[in-house]
Amino acid sequence: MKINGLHIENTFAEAFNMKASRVIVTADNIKWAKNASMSFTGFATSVIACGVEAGIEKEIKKTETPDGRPGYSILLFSMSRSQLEKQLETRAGQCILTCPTTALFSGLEGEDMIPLGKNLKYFGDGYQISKKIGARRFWRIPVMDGEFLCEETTARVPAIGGGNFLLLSKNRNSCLAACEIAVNVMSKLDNVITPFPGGVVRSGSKVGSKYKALIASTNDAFCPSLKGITNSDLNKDVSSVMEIVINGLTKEDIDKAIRESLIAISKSKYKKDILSVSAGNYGGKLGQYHFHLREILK
Amino acid sequence: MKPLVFKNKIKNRLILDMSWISNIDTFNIAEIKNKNIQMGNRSFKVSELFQVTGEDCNNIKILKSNSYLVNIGNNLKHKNLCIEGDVGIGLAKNMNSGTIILKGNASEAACSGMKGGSVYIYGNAGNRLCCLPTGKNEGILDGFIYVQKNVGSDSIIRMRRGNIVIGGNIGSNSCYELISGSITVLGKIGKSFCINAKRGTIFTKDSSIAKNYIKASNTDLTFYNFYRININKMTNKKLIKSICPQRYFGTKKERKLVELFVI
Repeated sequence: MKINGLHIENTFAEAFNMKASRVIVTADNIKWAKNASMSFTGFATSVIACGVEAGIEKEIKKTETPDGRPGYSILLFSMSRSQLEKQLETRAGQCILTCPTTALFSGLEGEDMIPLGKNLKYFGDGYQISKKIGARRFWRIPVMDGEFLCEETTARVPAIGGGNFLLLSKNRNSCLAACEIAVNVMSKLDNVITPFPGGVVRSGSKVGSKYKALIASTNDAFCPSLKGITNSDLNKDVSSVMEIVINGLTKEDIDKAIRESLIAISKSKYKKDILSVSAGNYGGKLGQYHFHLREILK
Repeated sequence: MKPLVFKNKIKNRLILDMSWISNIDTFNIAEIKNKNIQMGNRSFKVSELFQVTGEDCNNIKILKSNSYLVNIGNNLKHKNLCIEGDVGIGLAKNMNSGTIILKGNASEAACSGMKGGSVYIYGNAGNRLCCLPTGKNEGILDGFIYVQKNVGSDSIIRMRRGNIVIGGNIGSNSCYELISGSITVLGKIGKSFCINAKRGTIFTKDSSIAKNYIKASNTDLTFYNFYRININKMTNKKLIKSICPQRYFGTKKERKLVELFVI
């Protein structure tokens, strides 16, 4: 199958059930909202070692935020409720509470609520003030620059993590440029994030390793430098492979992200260097969701 | 589904307890029409006192209401009530949830013991708005109240939580023993306002009460702006316009944590 000349392999990405939450960070100006958001989503690329996968979903205009200031919405994904709760509170306490002028709000509605400022309020040492507006409770915690306004809870919803595709390219520069186009497209979409640095992964992994202590190791079938000495999935012209991992709230959100980003790549000048588009899977036995590239692009 | 409409056709001047409206849980209009209610020392069918149309018991309209209809919205749960005309005492008494929109004036003791939900009064509210209900120790536990015009005296006693917005003036002896919650008064404030308060936040244009409070820093107005946006959204009006209020925090005499924004 070819889309505008871009070859799409007959394969699928394998993704997993996760738990997600959304928070909104605001500040006096976009610079400080970004500082807080970048800090909050730092070291949150993979649940394997970070506990949570997080990323900035989008910038929010001041007319759309709860307190009329500019901000960012952030999505967090985790495999378990307890891990999500723990990471959310820790990151809120260390990255948002500490950042000048910021406030933190829930970005999701639902029945399953997890703490956001519920325990952070104790930082106020008795001077914290509770405010309830409708069904939502907010805490005003006095800090040295004024007040930290924080919603008590946020919702937790079922979500999907690990949607992906791989770009197999003639050279590294074109591969990275095409990835950047895809990430740029996805950054404009709601309900999805690309949690890795800049949205791109170069170290795709396979399950298992020759070393017993490791549960995952380098995906040698897609390493161009190992062609010839391993059972490679790459043809002789491929010299660089990069992966984009997508986490989303629903299957449709990830479908849309894959479709729109691949179409954008197919219309770019870099498509001539992209030899094919593949996807990462584990034979279809581990993940609950399968994203068949050709079906998505039909 | 059409809202359930009760058009008042009572001609005498007897008080009618309307608490039964909150308990309607059937979509069967015949059953509603035949329900027996007490007025004075006689029992009547609903259809004898009201012209009943519609079917949705969760969206109820009362037309041609007057101050002889009392206790409307008593213990209301998950229903929307729209009333055209004035109402008698006890509007939204012990209300739990739902919405009441009153296009008229409310008599005494409205919203007493309210626990949740929203009440919009597009008129005046009489004395003792949010007064202590029998056997309870808080005048209002939670919920949102908007009074477009004036509120009488002895109102808002021992408010625990919630938000009250008053578009006009408020009478004397109001906000007594305020425990917490937020109150906005856009008109003038009567004598002995907010005596023995413990905590809570007051937004007012009447700067005369500021003399009792300690002037505080207003460098951070994050909460104020957040509250302003929310109240304007909830009332669908630009009620709070000021973007540079003066903030006061703490009472001068008792050093209680009452916060005041002069807007």
